[in-house]
Amino acid sequence: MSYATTHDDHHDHKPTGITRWLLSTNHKDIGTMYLIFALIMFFVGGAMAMVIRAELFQPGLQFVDPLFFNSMTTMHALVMIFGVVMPAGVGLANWQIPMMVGAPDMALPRMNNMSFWILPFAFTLLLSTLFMKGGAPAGGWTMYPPLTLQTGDALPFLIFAVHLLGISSIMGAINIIATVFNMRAPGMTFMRLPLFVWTWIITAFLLIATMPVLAGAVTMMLTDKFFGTSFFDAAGGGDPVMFQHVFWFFGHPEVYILILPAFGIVSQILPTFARKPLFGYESMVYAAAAIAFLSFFVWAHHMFTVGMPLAGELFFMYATMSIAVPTGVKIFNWMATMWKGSMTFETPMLFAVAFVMLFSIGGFTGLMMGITPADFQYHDTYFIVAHFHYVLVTGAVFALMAGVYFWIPKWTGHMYDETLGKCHFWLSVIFVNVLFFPQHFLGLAGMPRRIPDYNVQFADWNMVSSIGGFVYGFSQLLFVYIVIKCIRGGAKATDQVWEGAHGLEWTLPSPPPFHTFTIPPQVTDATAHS
Amino acid sequence: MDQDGQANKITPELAAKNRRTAIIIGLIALAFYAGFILMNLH
Repeated sequence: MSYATTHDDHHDHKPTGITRWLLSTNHKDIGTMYLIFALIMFFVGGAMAMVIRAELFQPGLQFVDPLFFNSMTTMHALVMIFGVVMPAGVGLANWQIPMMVGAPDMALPRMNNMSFWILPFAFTLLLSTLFMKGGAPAGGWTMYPPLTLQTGDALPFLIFAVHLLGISSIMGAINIIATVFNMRAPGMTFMRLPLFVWTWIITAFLLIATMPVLAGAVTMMLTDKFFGTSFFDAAGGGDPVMFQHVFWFFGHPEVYILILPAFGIVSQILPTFARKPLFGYESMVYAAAAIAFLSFFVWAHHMFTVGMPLAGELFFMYATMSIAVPTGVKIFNWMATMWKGSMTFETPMLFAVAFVMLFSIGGFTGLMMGITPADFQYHDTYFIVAHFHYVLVTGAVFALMAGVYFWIPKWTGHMYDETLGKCHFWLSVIFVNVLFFPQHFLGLAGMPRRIPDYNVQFADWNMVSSIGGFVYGFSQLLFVYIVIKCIRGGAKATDQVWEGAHGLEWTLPSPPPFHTFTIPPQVTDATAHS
Repeated sequence: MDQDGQANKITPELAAKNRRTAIIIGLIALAFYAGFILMNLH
């Protein structure tokens, strides 16, 4: 049954022209804008990564001066975290959550518009610093004082951009919470929500709890720089290490803000292509909640080397280890979902399976660094760079790619080109490993992170890593081609799209009308999550 | 929304509930922001 086919289908008119986008209150249009924005920023951040890998292709300084290199590492991180992974996740949430819970739109559509339109302004501010006296911020995305206080004219721009990004995220989170709590269709109980919706509720609460902390930290830095306070200035009685504590109280949950929606996407895709219900649905919900809860008690594992009491080191080490338990529950549930399933390997499934395997590598290296004495060896080396790129690229970005391939036939009404999709996957999965796996070796051999030049002993693996980076980077242009081709045409997608797909969104036509669920659907166990 | 079979309209009551939710969560976020700064005042 198609719930969108109602008597007033002929009223399904949409605004036209630029105002459709500027003044949009439609969750689908806003979702599209978030996704396009994230894709553009993916190439902006990717270009910065290319500069980094080109400079590191050989030892010695080849292309850029060290300050600009440091700006590239800093800006690459800020762009990829706040401009790509977070907006792409919110874009998918905007498209999918109302359709998944049977709501006509997001709860607060005008605030939804504002949440999105803050982003281009925030990134204009941030990226404009590349052209400023003193250069763009170069002290690392963690913005530690006193180093970051040496930033030139760019500092207030950085701080204001972070504030704007925080406001945007908080408004997005409020919208998601209000939508899921207040707008669910009759019969859509919490334990019938699709896992993607569950992971987004938990992510939204994480955002509410942590973004104000980041905003507070950078506000204090602003007053230290311009208004004579000494929050983090030892000369005035402050404590620079306190910034690190406050930053990582935000920063560690932020990791889960980036990865929990990815868990949700994968939890939608694996059951669909294994043609089996998700194994252990309830335990998946509780595991996601447990991961989020524990993420507030592990922040100091990022700063073992600053020196802290032994009891503190032990507490944060054991707390970090404990996160492996709910994460393990999720990994094993995904494997059990696939076990003896009638699996097929379309592009979304390929990316999702690669996610499970490669994210696990990132998870395990995280555990290695969670061991305090071992971290003294790994800290600030390329080992950590390899670790977080396995988590964020083969983890978060692969899941986002999987999500786009999974849902784009629903959004556009056209199937994407499966052959090209598989080419994109194999190029990505091979060269992302060529890019990041050697960085483990470099880190273990002692190569520090955030350096534009290095000892010749690191030359070979750096060259391999750079080659992987160039091919992985350029192969993403194929993704853009596939998406554009799919939007412009292709084989007609059915309403259900995938044989094993279950859930409310698959009851809608492909593409769904501008306004969906004008009659609320009645949700039963049969129409609930797969 | 317990409006089974009826138009899926955003009633004034539902809109008010959504606004209330937004204001409450927004105030909590603001309290976290101010709290963390105040906590660091010496």
